[in-house]
Amino acid sequence: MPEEFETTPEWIRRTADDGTGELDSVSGIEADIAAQFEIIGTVVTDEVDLPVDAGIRLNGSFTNPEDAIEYLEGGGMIAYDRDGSPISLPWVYFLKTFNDILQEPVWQVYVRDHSD
Amino acid sequence: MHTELMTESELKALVEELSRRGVWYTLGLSVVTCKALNVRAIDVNVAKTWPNLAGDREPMSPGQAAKTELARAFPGLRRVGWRRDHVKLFDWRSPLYFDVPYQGAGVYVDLKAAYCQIYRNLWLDTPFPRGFGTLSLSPVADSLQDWKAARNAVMGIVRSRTITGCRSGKRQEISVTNHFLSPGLWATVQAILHAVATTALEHGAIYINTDGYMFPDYEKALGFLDFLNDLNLKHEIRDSGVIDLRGWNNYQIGRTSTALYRMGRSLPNEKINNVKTGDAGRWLQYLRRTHTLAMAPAGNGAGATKPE
Repeated sequence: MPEEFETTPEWIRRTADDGTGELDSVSGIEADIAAQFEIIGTVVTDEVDLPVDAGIRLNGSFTNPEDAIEYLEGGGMIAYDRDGSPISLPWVYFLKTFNDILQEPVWQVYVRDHSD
Repeated sequence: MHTELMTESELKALVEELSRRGVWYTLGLSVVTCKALNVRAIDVNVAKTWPNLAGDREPMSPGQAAKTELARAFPGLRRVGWRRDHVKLFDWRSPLYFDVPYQGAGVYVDLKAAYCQIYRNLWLDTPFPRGFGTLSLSPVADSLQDWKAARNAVMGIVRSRTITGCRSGKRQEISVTNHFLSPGLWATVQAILHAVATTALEHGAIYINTDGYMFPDYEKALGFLDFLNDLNLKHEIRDSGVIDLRGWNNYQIGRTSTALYRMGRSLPNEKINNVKTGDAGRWLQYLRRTHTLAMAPAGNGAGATKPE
């Protein structure tokens, strides 16, 4: 595998999703890459840094974070407290990237494998 | 499983015989399958020889060919990756609009191979709303583009959750596992059609049925045609001339008329309008993006990214 892929989100994407839609374990993720999984909007995760032994799957990419949130809500992947505030989900991760083709930011939504 | 090609009357006779024997069989669109007798019978009028996964050509129904191409494009796929709550996305329906009867000149515009040209730029795992997936459908669209029934069958497969089982004349809907089930893709294609329908209404359309749009004059239609060209949506003018729009699915335009019109039935002309106009602008923007991504060499929405 080319070295440049090993330290980029593209490598994570390729490794996490082998094209079959199945979950695969990803290990040995560089800490600085893991730290790029960030909190967006009101959807938060308890674990800001992606654990290096996490099994993750790319669930979709969005040019608008609001669409990503609507997607998660539609799938019941966001829980809300009685006062309407969102409850942290420890297994949803966001990675903000820049899409060279669209020439705009894209938010990638990853879900931990044990969430299913 | 042995495949037999049968005429419509032979299929009917087979169904009667299977019912008389009291064995289970499944009833598909133009296909009867009986596992007990190890036979699959296909209506000869819809069947084509098509390469199976091993590359050998065999008679297939449009649905079988579509499923074969999905399996070829996504070998070993066991699930698309959506969650149970996404099932409600299957409630999306295609846009329909009729307000009042109309008589006068006009034009009817159709999207060409509407479903296929839309899903070609999408993904089997398209996340809803307006997301980019990883399992590109362009190879499936390319393979099936010349077989209308098969390319449309893809949209039936992605939302099919049951089959019809029959025994002794009694029918029963049976839940089945469908690895290609995709509520996100289904709803996305419908949402795009609703966005196009919204634009048609803005240009003065008087009748809309899924991917067909009737306009009362050329000037209004021209604006809509410009819009379709701008979005690279392939289309055609199906007919033009004198319109006699009497009601839902009841009209004549030029030399084209519906069966209801030809029968001269006069049904209550109830208004129909299920067009979702709310997010049209955002959906059209999304359509442009999917087109841009499809034109790129990588072709996949999630690819070619780098950290900010």
